[in-house]
Amino acid sequence: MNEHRPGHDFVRPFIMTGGRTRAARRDLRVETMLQAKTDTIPMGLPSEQEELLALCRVPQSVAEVAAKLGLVVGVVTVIAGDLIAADLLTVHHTDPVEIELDTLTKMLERVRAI
Amino acid sequence: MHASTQPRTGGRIIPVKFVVAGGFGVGKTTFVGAISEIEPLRTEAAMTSVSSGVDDLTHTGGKTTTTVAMDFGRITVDDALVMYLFGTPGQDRFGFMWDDICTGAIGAVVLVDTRRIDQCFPAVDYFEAKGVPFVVGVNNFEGAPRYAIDEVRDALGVGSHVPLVECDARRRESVKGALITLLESLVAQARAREGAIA
Repeated sequence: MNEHRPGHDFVRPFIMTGGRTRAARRDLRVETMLQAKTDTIPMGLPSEQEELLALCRVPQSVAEVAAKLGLVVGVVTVIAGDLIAADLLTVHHTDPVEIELDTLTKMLERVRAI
Repeated sequence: MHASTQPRTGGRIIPVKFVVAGGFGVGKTTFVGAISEIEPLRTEAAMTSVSSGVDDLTHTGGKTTTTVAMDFGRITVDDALVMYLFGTPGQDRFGFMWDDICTGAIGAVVLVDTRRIDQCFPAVDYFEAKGVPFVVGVNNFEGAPRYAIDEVRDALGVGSHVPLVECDARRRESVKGALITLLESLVAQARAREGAIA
């Protein structure tokens, strides 16, 4: 399963982010789930936004998107930040205090079943 | 792939993050690979020594950029719950990026190589300081002196509330055991909290 896009090796990351080196959204973490809000990708988006949206038809983490697109995490958070601002992407993560006993028990049972 | 069977329009998926830490070469990626449902993925984070403002590229020439790799795996629990295991970059000098990886982590596994016990001190210190629950997995490498768990506990200076288990990162059952120990301690803590509230 090699979905690495070789083309990105020839583009300096900051070109793709319009020169920005820090994410507008500091709350995006490596495990934050990214999910496209629509199956239909609007015309005229920059290719990296289009690729990210297409990938996130299946919800997955920032880290998975970075690995699959062959981009560093920081670049993914910048691209994702733009898509969130454009209302094309939803994000979700959880803080430890929000994880309830029921969720912990489910994880425990899952790992025991491996 | 499991994930692709999920309806995109479905509800939220809760990601739960675990961190696997320890010294260089202790077996963090092996640990992740032994339990992950996918081949561990590698992602990179570019670290710069200067935290400049947005669009400020005037110092770009003088910045040193380091790229650190982290390997991670995934365990899908159900349609709404996914566990992620992230290995921290091993070298001490990358300590400054641990916050990026560890913020929001529910628990951690610190792997210890008994030949180089001191290498896990930064990880132990970090998780204690941040209040992230962790277990210590003692990786008894072949040819390494074998220590009793209590001896390792003394050497690490961790209290009895921190579970210590023997852990061979190459063996799935062993890795599973370490993760189960961590989850059991998280369950116990959650029960105690709920009991205290009730």
